[in-house]
Amino acid sequence: MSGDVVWVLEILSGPDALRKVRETFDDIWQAHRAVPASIRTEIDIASGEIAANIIEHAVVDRPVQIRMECLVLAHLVEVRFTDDGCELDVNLESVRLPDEMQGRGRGLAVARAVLGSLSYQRDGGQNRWTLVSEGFSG
Amino acid sequence: MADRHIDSLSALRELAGFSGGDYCEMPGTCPVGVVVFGINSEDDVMEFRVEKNPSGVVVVFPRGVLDASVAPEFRGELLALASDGNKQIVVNLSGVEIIDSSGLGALIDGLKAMRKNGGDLRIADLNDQVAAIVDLTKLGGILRLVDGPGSVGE
Repeated sequence: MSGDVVWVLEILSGPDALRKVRETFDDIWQAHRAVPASIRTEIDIASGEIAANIIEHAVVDRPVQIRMECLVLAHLVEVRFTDDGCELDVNLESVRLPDEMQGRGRGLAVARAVLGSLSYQRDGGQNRWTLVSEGFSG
Repeated sequence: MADRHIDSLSALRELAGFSGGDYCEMPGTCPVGVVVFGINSEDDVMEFRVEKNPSGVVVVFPRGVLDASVAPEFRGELLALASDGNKQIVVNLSGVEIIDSSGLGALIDGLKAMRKNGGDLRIADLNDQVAAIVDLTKLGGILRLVDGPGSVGE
């Protein structure tokens, strides 16, 4: 993503973090009207789920610093979340929808289902999520 | 029928039993009781309206974004409606622009509470985004859709 980052949001985990993520994507889609509605919806859904996951699970005894980068190219949208919260025990290959009567545990399955690819890495004391939706020509 | 803004959620819970009828313009004849209230989680505000029709069906109308920032409070209100002895809740989602897995989880927890009390919770009036999430998560089988808005007589 080096040299191509066009949108960056830096926030602290907190009650208004999800709203700021949503508002940033509202701005992004306003600026990139060629991105199909289906891709926008996929990114909106998946970004919300990943951001909520970061806020819920990466909590330590201080606010977590979250950085979101979004790259819009002619054929794909890539979003990268980085946070300095706790390391997560995540195996995306094993993520499945829970039993239908479970009230929790669907977020990663939803994000994985709607995206072209979703990855998680722990690197340099930070969690790194990369979301990609592709398959269009803008 | 009169709308009334309620400042506290505890006051709403009391009114949601609709026992007093003091919010109706004509107590005893008003067909549908309505309360309007909001959940304020810092800057995120979710407003929703609750109706109870003469046949006892409670219809909840959330508005805006039903995500992780407001889902805990929304879940709490559904559980309160269930514990009040209501047997049928319809959540009309026509005013919900976006729902995420946390919002769905709140609906599932509300459904479980209703079933535990011998009741049921159903959903109505989904927009495309909400319908897509319900379909994606394969919850359409238990969060059954009511035809129409879920209002009086439905």
